[in-house]
Amino acid sequence: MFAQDDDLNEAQGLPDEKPKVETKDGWRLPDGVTERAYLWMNATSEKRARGGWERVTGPDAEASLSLAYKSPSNWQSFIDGRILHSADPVDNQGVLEQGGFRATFRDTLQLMIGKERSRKAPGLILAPSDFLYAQENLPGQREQRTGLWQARISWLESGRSLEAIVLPFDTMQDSGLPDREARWKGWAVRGFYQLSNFDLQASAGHLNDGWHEGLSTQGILGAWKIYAEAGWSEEARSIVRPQTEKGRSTLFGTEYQGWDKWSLRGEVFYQTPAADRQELNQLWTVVQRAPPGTLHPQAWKPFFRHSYGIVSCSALGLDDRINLFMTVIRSLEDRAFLFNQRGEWLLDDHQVIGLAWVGLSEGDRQQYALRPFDRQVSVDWKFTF
Amino acid sequence: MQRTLLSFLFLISSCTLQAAEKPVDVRAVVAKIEGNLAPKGYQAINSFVNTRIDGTIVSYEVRFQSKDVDHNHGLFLKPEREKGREILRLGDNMWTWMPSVGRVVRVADRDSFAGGDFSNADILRIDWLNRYEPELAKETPKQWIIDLKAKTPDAPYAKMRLWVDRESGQPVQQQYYDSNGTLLKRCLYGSVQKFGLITRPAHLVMENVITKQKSELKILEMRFDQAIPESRFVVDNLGK
Repeated sequence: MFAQDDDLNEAQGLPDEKPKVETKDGWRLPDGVTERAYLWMNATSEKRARGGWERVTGPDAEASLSLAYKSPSNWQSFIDGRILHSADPVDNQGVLEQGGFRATFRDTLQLMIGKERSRKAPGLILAPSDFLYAQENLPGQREQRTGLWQARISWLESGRSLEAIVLPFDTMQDSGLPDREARWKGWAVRGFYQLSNFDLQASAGHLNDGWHEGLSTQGILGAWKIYAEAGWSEEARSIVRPQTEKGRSTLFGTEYQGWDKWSLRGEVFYQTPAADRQELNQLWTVVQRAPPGTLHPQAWKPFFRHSYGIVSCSALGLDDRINLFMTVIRSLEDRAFLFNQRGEWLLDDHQVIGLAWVGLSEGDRQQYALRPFDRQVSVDWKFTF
Repeated sequence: MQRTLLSFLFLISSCTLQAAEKPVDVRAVVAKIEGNLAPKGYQAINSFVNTRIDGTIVSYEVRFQSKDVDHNHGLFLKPEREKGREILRLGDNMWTWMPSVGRVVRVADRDSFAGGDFSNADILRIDWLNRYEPELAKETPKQWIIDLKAKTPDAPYAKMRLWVDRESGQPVQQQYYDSNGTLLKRCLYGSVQKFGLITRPAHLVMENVITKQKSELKILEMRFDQAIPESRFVVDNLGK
């Protein structure tokens, strides 16, 4: 059937097939409507050497539905919500992640009112240049799509954009709706410019009574992606010192995307609003005196000190069935490190089963003294409709 | 009279021979194929089936919107676990939108498309004449065999060889080589159909010669009657 590689004989193509007429019976979404829905369940086992405890929680569950409608007359509405079930303690909560209206005028001017998420910063986990949309999840964990309440006006063209955003609410309820006692959060402007193979992004804003600025660039050189981010923030506070100070954080990273399935990424992160050796010793004293179980798990932060190296490796679609993610966060000031690995088995078009393992270094007097666990293993199942 | 008739016959036969020997305009042949494989201003729904050597089959369905060769947008419709993922190509630059984390990620060009044997360049950027120099390698009674040699370092392949049916002007087969002359992939074309103003193969099978795996592309729908707004090709509008 195939022509020989080294000669110039006539070749054959594919046999002609009659085009299949696909009849789409049953209920269909109206034109312009798109949806995405899934069900997610998870169980976790955590172990901590200090205090010698081990616990298994779950099953936690989540049902999610995203709906969007685009009208032919250049406006659209969208809603994205979740219902969360927590097993320990038992709790059920509906959460509005995103929702609102967008209208586009003259194809370049867009007005949005509602709750929206739009993250463009290149950093894998940390994004010093993006003071609006934080990412708390480690790679491969559960979805994170929480938006910000805002009114946005944007000028958008291919390869460049400029947007002005006002953020009316500084606090939200657990449901994702604005807190009744919320105060004015502030405003921000963001710009994007594509210069040849590189993206340039700049943002500035006044949020929560403090100034914030961010700069980032990323580009592709062959199979390499290289990027850098810098952020300045008056809101950033030292971990143990409560006073406000102007914090600076920077991130440099590169990712090799030249392999078919695998990619390898390395980042170096530095921040000034972080704990130094003296502060760490003060904290260690507090930790030693605290009765077992009194430290709140949320007090723990993976990025506690000044500088870190992050290495991440991922493989997507191995044998069309398996995704792998491995990330190491290593402190550049002590020996503390976090190791996160996750495997996903793509069971069929709808289902994914995941197994994740997170380990934290055990060194006392190091930055992860407040860690909620030493080892965590979790298994999850996701069904997308 | 006899002499005039002989002169007339000689003149006709000379013209016929000249016409028969007139070299084919390979650039025009390739331009026509390129124009049909990557037409301007279309919306299409394509299905992709990746078949692996162990028999594993993975299917995707993607809606493409294209303004021209430098402005392309894809939205994953199937499988359900990939639903909502978007890809945007502006010239040499590509971004992908991941709905699970609400973020835009820049990606390199040479990634395979949806894990299959078609590369992003094979699907989203068919601009052969800008990147390759066409040259007629051989002319057979039924086909033209055209070599396309890379003329820019950013061309995805060092050389491509294209078999074209002389009668219809449609591609029959295509082979892709690296700079050492090693055959990497071959693509078979078939099921030529008319979509609006263009006629093109609706069925493509790409075989990776190295891994022995193959991917199949079928055009389920192709429309030219819907205006695609410029805003579709804006990075900030990914996911919106």
